[in-house]
Amino acid sequence: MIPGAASGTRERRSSRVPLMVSAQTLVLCGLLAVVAVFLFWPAAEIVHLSLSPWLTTENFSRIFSTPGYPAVVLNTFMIAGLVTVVTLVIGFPLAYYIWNRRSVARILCFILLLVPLLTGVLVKNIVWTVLLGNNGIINRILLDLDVISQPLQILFTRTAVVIAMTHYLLPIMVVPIYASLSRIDRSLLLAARSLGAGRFGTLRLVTLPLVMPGIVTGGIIVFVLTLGFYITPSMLGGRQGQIIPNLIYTYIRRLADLHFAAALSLLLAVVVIGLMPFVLRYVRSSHSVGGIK
Amino acid sequence: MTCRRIFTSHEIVLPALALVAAVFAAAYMPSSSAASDSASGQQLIVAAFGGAYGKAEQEAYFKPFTKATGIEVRVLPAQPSLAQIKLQVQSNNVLWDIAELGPWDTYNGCRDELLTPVDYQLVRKSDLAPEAGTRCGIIASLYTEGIGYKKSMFKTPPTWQDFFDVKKYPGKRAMEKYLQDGTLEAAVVGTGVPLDQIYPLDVEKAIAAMSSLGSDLILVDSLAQASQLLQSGSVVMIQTAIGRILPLESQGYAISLVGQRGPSFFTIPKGARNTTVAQKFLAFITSCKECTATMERMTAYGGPNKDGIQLVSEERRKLLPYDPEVQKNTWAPNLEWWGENAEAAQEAFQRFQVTGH
Repeated sequence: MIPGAASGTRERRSSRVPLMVSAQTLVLCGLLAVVAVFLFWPAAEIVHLSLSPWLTTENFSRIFSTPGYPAVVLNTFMIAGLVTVVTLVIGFPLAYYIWNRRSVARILCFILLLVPLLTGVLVKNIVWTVLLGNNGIINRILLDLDVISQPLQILFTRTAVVIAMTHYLLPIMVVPIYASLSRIDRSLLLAARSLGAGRFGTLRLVTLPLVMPGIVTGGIIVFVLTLGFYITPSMLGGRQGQIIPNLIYTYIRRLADLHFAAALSLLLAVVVIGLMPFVLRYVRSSHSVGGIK
Repeated sequence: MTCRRIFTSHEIVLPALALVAAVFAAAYMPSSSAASDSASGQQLIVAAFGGAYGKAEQEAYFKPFTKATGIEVRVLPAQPSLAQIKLQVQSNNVLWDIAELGPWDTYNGCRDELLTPVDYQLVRKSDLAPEAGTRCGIIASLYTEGIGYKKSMFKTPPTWQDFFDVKKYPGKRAMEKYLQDGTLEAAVVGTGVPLDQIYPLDVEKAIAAMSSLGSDLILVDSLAQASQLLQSGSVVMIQTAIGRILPLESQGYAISLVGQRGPSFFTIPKGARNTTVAQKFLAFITSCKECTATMERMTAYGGPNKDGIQLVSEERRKLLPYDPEVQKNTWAPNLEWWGENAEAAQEAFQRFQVTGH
């Protein structure tokens, strides 16, 4: 992790690189060819579709000129943003808690965290319908306890979508944060404490900057995955579950309008790719703020 | 950890090779085998929907066809759509001899020449039930829709006007997002428009009616979800199809048959490898009374033969879309109208979902 050490490794390696290079290059070229054929080509095809017929931008302007569609775009990013924030707010303390357990407890925590990932998303959605419905378990308990007098409308709202997606994506946020935490040299924390920082001060000034890369990585993955969710908003969101993936589905499946569907897909991709440099730059700068590189 | 470190060593070689192999395997797997079998002419490849409905199709159409002609039918539960056919036709690689499509897809596919017209020299028009045949499709089924409800809560079967009257019947109700099942038509009927004046459909009027229900209207993704809401008591009425309510009859649920008569068509994609056999299949199911009767017995959905209905029980006949009483209370979708206006209607409906009006 110290610059000098890293470059030292490089120098030592260079003596036996030549033989390796050919094998590596071969494999890399093979992989690149696969990526080119199965990723770039279809992507180019989508760009082509979205601009046709005749290199028009009409498909894109249509997204923003059709009444209601800008709201769908907004809703998409709002749900993605909300889910990212909520998974972070729950995920960071959770990762922090796991990090501070002893080994057995830690393994148990990880099993509890990861087992839900093995359940299909459809099963989870159906369970949420049962839990959140007007006659569902949560509403009935609250009614019986006289907390509420009318059942809460949770199912078929944006809240239900955010709850279900957060539940699904939480492990994906926790794992990278935990990975960052586990790389922290605990003596740094002791040093901070001995220099007079309180528990909270240590967390804020030392731990948090050091796990920033994990937080950002988790955030990006969760955000991007959220943008691709289709079934959950559709099943649990009712009218508030309208997001770009549903629109894409409608245009492909119901209306067979591949051009507009391609334009919508491209919009999603462009926003995500456009966000990356900013986020990555932030990671780099926050990394050096931590003082250790 | 430096970048170089990640890419050295044999660690990466094996997974990489595995990936390459997997990709090639995936690329070679499904389509080519289906295509070569089909070319031999002894097999009919049908893309349909599967499930309990698929089982009924198997018994009603595919098994009898194989028995009569010796031609094997291979059913792919492919959830076929016009978009898929469009891609297959454009890439000159049509995988299906018969594809089951909804009414919009059938009409639009015919208009855009992605489907082969039915050969009415072979298919006897005189055998067809009403609404059972169009230029490019013969129905696999014609299903009656309506309002699902709990019997004990209603003195008389509800109408669409009741559906949109929250004062008379308080509580939430569920409708489908899937416009092909007649969601907008039902809303217009709910405002009092007579059945023969539904078209040209006033989309804004339909949306205003749905909007007036406010949060009492729940839009669901599938009929299964609607049934679930009804059973859990979350809603008092649902827009649904007869096939969904019959299994719940013993639990005290019923359907008021006042909705759309929704067709699902067997179609032949343009450039299908076995067009001749496909036409033969359409001719066979049209002329086979027992086939239609089997479909009607198993699902309460109508089949293509007009006389099949005579082979089913009196009780079942009353539920079929060909029954005079049912005909009077239900409507057939106007596919010409939808062919022209589907995109605009869908956009308006999308707007309603997002903005609430």
